[in-house]
Amino acid sequence: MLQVVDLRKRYLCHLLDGRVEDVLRGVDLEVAAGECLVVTGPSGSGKSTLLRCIYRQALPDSGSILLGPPGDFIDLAAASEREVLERRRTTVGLVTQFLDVVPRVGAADLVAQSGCSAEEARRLLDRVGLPGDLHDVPPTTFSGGQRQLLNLARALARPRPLLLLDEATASLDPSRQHAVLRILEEKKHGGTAFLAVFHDVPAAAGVVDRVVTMREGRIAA
Amino acid sequence: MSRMLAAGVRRYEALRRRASELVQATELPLERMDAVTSTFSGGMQQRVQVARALATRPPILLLDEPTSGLDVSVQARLLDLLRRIQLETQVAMLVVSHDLGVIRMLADRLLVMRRGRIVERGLTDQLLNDPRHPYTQLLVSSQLS
Repeated sequence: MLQVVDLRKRYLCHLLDGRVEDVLRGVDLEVAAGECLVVTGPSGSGKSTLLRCIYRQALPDSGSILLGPPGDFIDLAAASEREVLERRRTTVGLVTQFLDVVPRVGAADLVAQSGCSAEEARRLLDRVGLPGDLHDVPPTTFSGGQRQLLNLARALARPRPLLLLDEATASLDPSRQHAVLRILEEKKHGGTAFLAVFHDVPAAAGVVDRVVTMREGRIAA
Repeated sequence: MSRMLAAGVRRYEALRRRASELVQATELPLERMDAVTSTFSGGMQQRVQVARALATRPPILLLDEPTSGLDVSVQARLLDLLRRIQLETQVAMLVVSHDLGVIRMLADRLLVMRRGRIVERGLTDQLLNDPRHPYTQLLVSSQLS
């Protein structure tokens, strides 16, 4: 589903007199359909930048990001903006800890706007565990965990064969976390591939197939 | 209605019907549909402009600083309206804005201009997360968050 080859990314900061940060120093990995690969590693090792490059929120300097489905691979590192937007609609989703939405729009509407019917949106919010009395409330007043639940529901609004999760369950209490992991497990059995940055790997053990560790911009093990 | 007249709509009933559709779509008060727009607030006038521009169902909408000068509550409402128009119709939008928040909400792709030239282009979230040109880096690092 996804094959990353020798991916390199360096940030050049003009405002700090051309300071250079070598964040990815040649990353190789593969994720098959229906597989969940977890990336761990210390802060600053490049985990989030890796996910950002794959989603093309950051532009890699070299290397390739081959994204399926099988028979229809495209190199996201070199793809045009329109091609990337199309793949985001059909193939790859990103869930982060942060929620970035138009203010004053209720949670269920935000989910529906991500690509499903109004009824489906409410059903998804129920499934991820966002209380019903919050469905019509704009997320401005939501807690960190509630925002994450909304983010997850938005990512699930459209079927996509690859989901990138960046600490997607970090602010959830154990029971909510458990509920979300069960949904992910179900998606996985349905063939969805996951590339996930998790801190707490044991909690996600039921879903996880393989774990790799990043250190200083490379996959260490 | 002059836009619709110019486009060849001649039946009064059809004109009224489309006008009231647009008034409702842009969340203007229907009972003030026949009022003079100079009595409207800034935000309402902005929405009248959007309604006028949409009257003839054009395939592309040009928006020049659509939310500048509006108080933030009106701004949020206009943004929501424009997002809905994007999702519900297939209209293309070319937006000029200084407001990175507005850009993030509305635009798929972003061009950064300086002194009459495009200095950087890319996906909106890519440019805001990973700006490369010194001027784009300055813009992104200067935004309030």
